[in-house]
Amino acid sequence: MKRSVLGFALGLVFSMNTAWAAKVGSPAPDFTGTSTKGEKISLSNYKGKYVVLEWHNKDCPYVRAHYDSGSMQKLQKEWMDKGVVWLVVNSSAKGKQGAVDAQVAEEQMKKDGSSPTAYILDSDGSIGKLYGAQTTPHMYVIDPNGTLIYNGAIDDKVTTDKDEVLKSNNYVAAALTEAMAGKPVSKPTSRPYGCTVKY
Amino acid sequence: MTRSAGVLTSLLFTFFFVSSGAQALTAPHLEVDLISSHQVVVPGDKAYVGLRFKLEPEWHIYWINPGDSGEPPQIEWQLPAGVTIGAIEWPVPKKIPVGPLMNYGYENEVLLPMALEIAPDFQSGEAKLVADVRWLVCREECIPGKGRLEKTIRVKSGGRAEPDAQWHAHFLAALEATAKPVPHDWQLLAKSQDEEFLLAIESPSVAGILKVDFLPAVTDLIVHATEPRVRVEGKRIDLTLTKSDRLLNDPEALPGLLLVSFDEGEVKAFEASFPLRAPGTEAIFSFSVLLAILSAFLGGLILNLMPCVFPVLSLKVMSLMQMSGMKRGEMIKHGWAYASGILVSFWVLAAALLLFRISGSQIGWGFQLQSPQFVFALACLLFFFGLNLLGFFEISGSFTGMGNSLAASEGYRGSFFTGVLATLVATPCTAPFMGSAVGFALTQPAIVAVWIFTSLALGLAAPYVVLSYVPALGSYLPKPGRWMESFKQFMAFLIFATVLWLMWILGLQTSFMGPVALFGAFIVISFAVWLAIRWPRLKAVAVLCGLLALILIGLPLKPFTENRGVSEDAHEEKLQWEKFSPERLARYREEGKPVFLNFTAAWCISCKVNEMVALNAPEVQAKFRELGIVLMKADWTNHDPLIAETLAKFGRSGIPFYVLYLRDKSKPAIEFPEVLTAGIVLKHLSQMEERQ
Repeated sequence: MKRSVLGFALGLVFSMNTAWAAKVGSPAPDFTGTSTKGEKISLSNYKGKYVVLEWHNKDCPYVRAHYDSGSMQKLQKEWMDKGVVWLVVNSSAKGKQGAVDAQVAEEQMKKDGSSPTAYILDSDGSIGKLYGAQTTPHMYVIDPNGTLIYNGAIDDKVTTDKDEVLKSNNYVAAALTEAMAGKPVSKPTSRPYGCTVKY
Repeated sequence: MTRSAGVLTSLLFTFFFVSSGAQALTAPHLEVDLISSHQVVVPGDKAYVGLRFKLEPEWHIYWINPGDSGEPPQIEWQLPAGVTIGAIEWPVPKKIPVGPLMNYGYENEVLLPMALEIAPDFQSGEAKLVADVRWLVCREECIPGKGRLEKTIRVKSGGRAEPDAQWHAHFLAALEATAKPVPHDWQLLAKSQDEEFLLAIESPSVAGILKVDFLPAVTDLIVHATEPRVRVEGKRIDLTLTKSDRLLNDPEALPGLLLVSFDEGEVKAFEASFPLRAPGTEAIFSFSVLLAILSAFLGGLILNLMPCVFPVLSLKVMSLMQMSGMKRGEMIKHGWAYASGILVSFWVLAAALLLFRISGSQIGWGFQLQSPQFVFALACLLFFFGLNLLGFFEISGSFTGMGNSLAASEGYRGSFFTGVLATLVATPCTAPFMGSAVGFALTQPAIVAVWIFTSLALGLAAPYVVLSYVPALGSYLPKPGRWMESFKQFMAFLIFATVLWLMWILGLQTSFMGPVALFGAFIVISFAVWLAIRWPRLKAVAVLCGLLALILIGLPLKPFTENRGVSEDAHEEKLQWEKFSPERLARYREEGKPVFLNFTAAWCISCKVNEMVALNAPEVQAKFRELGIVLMKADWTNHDPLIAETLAKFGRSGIPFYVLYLRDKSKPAIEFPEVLTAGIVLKHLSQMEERQ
């Protein structure tokens, strides 16, 4: 019986984690994580602002292509200047590819010239599983009401080639542009591509 | 990871671009080669080229739908005029779980064949095929690769094709192993319902299928990592899949691979596209839901008459008698209080069952009595209740506030708890109509399941509620008086008989020590009662110490797992019931022996009655022997996932259940009804003779 009780509890956790967690048009699930600066970051703190979630793994070639081409940093800066909150989330488990502590993450950001609103260390994968994050980079856009308006890939070029990245059509930028103009997002989902999140 | 991160990172950023003639190309973690089925091709004849990947152990490449991450290999061809190459004819992929995510791909060695077509006017000579290939090879980390592969093929018009000695057979094998179209007589149905897709396959030829899985051909359709809920029953298979978060609008059809196994081991792959019906146009699902709700009600009604209810009969009679002298309005309220007790406990049981199912545990109807702790607690409760009936102490009044009153309190709460007890004790077994309804409910979305269980509870409660509405009832019941006291005391002995039955179950579930512990518990209960009566001021202490002692005695009870199928049936040896094991069952079926499988448990009185009056009847035994039927008994007294799984294959989750596997493996097994008589068994056995 003891085992089934455990199974029961696991089942509950599992069923809460997987399906329907991050569905476009529904409220984005709230979470609290710790940033590289040691701050507690909650999604609910940013009500009234657009929030972008970017899943990150510094050693993933798909992520590299976006940073080595300068594309991701540019995107972050451009939209943060327009008041968007940009949260980078790292769900790599300890010892797996892309796992970082606060210091390594800070150094990597300095090296890449990236300065998001916060870099959240999610090594237990709880935020990743809450959102069903599959790949790096997997992107989410949340509107000021807290509704998820985009869930999917960063762009339309499935590539690890930084030159190709520069030619791509960026879905996050498109979603933010349309939403800020009061229009519905024309491409609210796409298949996220990249490396598997290393839970 | 053994390699240092630095080395790995530098590896990751290097693309491996190697040009090869006819040589295989070596890249990190794999070798890839462009090969052909023929060395000499004749225009118009069938020939194939293919990419052959050889991967290091643990590394994989991807299927056309890579799953939650990854990319399928991609090829860009440079071909001479007149030569065309078709799309990859994808081999059946493997499910590759990565943490909580799922990928579909290939490990070890795989050949991706593509049809090669040479135009009839192609001049004889050589055709140089150049392929620029990109791939992603992954273990946990992924390494993209690309390379150019070349292959020169000789074309001879009017000559004879020459198969490639090394590879021709590989191509034949690879093509043979690709998914086949679904058989013509399979009807594929699909329905979108909230967050799920319900797929169904209907055909007489699906009977006997053991396992089913569905791999979607496109991504972002379903949650890949969530196993489909599958129900195989007779001529129909139901699969329930969870929609992907990123699916905003339902597609017109769900394309993918159906993987089915008719036997342990062998998996057949079919290419299937399930057309999605617009909501409202499908009759088949809502009809079966309605039917299940109806048969659940009927099943609940019949459950009142099943032997299983025998242990709570005394409770029922008593709550009826309690109505003596009541006004009509009061009686009706009591009737409904009893019904709500049944309803609430059904909901609790159903919720527990559904949650266990989500977590993947194999448990079934009646699972509560598979727990020795539960049986122990129930026996203690009934013993305590029995003492109360005997008049050792009064619970109502002084004890009420302590939550111990339960069924003994004479208010509506008493009726409510009688309903609860009736459900917990009397519902371990299923009744006719009920078995398939409960089995069906567990494959359905929670809301449908709740409806079915509610209907079942209402069926069980109905006679009692109806009775409470009958105005004449009051006049049939004897007037209240001194007889009630004697009657209550007498009822105590029936309760003790039920306790004895529970003690017997506990003995089979645990060991000799189970009943001893239970007897110890009775001493503790009596002692606590004595204390509380003798020194009323110590009541709270007595109750507390009593409960504590009970928990200490009851909790350590362990089920007797290593000896599955331990049974009380030593005296039944004449019948030669073999202990159920899936392996042995498979072996007998392989040998072409018919097998009768009897699902039973100590707590299932209906099962015991069936065994006594039907299965052990001399004429039935004789017939079994005459037909050479192997008799097997699956004893579910204790929790046993193997038995639950076997039941689930028949769309059941409760017992009694009987099934006869025929000699001919391709013929569906014969299911027997829940209520057996010798006549019914003999009739079904003659059916077997006809079918063979």
